Amino acid sequence: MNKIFTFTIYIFLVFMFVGCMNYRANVGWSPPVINDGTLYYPTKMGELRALEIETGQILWTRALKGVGKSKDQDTVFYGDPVIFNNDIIVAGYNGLIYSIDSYGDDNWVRKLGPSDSHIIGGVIVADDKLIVGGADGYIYAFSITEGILDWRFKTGNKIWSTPSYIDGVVYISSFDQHVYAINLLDGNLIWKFKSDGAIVSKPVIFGDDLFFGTFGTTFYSLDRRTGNEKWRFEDSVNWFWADPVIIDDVVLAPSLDGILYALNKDSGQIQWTLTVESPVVSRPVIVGEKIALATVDGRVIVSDVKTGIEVGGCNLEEEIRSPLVAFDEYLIVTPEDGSLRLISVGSSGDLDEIWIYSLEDGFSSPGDKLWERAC
Amino acid sequence: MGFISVFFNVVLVDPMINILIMLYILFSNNFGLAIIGFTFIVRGALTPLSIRQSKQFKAMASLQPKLKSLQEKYKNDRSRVSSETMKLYRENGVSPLGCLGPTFLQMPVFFALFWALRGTLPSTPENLTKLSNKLYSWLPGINQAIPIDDNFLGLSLGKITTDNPLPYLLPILVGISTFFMQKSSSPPSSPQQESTNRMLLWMMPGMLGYFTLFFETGLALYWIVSNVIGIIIQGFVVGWTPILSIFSRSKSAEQIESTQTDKENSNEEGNSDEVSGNNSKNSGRSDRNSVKRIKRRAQRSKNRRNR
Repeated sequence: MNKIFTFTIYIFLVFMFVGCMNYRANVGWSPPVINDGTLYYPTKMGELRALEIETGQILWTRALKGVGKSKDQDTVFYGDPVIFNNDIIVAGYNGLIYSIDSYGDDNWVRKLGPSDSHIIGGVIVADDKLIVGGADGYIYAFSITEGILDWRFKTGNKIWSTPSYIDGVVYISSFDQHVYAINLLDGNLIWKFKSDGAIVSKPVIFGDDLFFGTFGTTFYSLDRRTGNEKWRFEDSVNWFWADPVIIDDVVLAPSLDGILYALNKDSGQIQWTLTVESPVVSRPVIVGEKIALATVDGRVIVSDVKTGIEVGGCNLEEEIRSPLVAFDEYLIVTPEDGSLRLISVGSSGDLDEIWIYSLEDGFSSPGDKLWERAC
Repeated sequence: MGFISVFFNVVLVDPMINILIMLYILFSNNFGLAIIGFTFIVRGALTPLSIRQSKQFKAMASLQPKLKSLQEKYKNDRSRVSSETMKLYRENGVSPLGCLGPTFLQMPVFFALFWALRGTLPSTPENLTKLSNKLYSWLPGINQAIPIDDNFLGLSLGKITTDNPLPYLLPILVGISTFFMQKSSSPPSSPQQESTNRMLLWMMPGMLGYFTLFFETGLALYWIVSNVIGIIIQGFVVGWTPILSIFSRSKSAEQIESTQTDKENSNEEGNSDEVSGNNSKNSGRSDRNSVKRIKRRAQRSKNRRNR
């Protein structure tokens, strides 16, 4: 009897395990990109959708599948797409880079590498090259017109961050705790800097400086020409994940400890802090004189850039990890339910939802039955 | 349900994640050794219960002859058999449910480890963002240890078993080690239970081995190491006979067979020889007599041929 009882417990647990197998499904958090009144959105359903930004009406949908043996497999997207000559270039978690024209047709598709080469970070355009980092630890440079590999540079661990580029130098951070400066022309190393933790935050360039935060809970400022440390900030108690934002002489560094740190650009001294009590994975944006940020627990918060005082906000009640996108006085938010929400930011910081585009239900605007305004 | 989930995470999963990462740092960034070290800690904590369990098995084994006689005595009264059995257990300080202690305690540990491994080795960016809030930031170097390098002996411990090279090796080892663990910890049973036990003895390792195919490799490593430790504890407390009997099974089966055949022969001889009777001592004598008779017959026929 004892053994039958034990056996039943085993089987029960095993089925519980198997029932929970879907927990690790990728969702993706690519933000949309805007070009010429059209919004291009890499969806959580493995598609690229083009929407008219004023009305939210769908223009076209293009499924982005795998190639070869995995040609029927969907993918998800994490990095920012880029626009080049009206083409949309986006990297998938499946390790493929897609170049799609403004009508939704293929220009080219390239596989990043032969092995385990997921792409988490975004792609950037640097002169005539397309630069992207892979989870296989390489940073790749492709010719932008044909997608042919020009060079690649190996780091010591996975790359999940988006590169930065200025004056012929590409800057990339890696899980190996280093930031690398690489010559765009030949892919040779110029300098590298060892930090105190893995880095997924993009090294953001401002003037002669480079800013990034680490999993070691430290935020750094480097001289981008030499790689020498200028200052470091160590008051955070959790990782820095989101890319920092710089405005005037203030570096805005959101942390997973639920605090937005505003640091002096030259000294690293705290100017102000904003406690939001939920991790911030999403990159904040500047809208006019305000900073907007989104928390993992689904809140969109607007605060004054100079003081950090919260002036507006609303709760979408959906987890938000996707970077925010701003244009004019509008904010585009893409929570994890896959919807797109266009929100206007008033001069006093009040938020007003203009339209919502749901992947399942399509477009909704005020007056529609499906409309459930959160802001 | 939400409360249970929070309680489960805060009390079991989160501490486990932090212990695993600290062991990872201690073992020079080797996650395989961290899992093995963790298994030793869990098994070490459960050792008093494991020893108690083994002693219970031993005590139950010693009561088997009495149980059989009880079953014989009250074979027409089932309720009497069970009440007398319980009485016998009580008088001898045996608790049948006491044998399940370590199993019960291991279950939540195993379940929590499943989630802890997934939490420590997140394969998606979404899950990595969740890991940061599970770490005890006051532990030295814990943030710097992320991301965890999950390579161990050519295996990727965070991947599903079938995604690794030699995908069936670990499930087979899980099956074999579970079989030996089962065998070493099988409580003595009545003939009626024997067939059920035999079925479970094969079915459990088979099913656990099969399900290992869908789990993280690190979990299979934990299970194998845990079984090996369990077998060793059982061996030292109860003895190695249950395990050794597996290896000597065919040999002992032959021995039993030959012994039975000898007995049957001797009985036949004993029956034919009315003087010698049926006891084994006499049957030995009858053997010698029959040999003499055969020799005498052979000598007589030889003499006839010579004439």
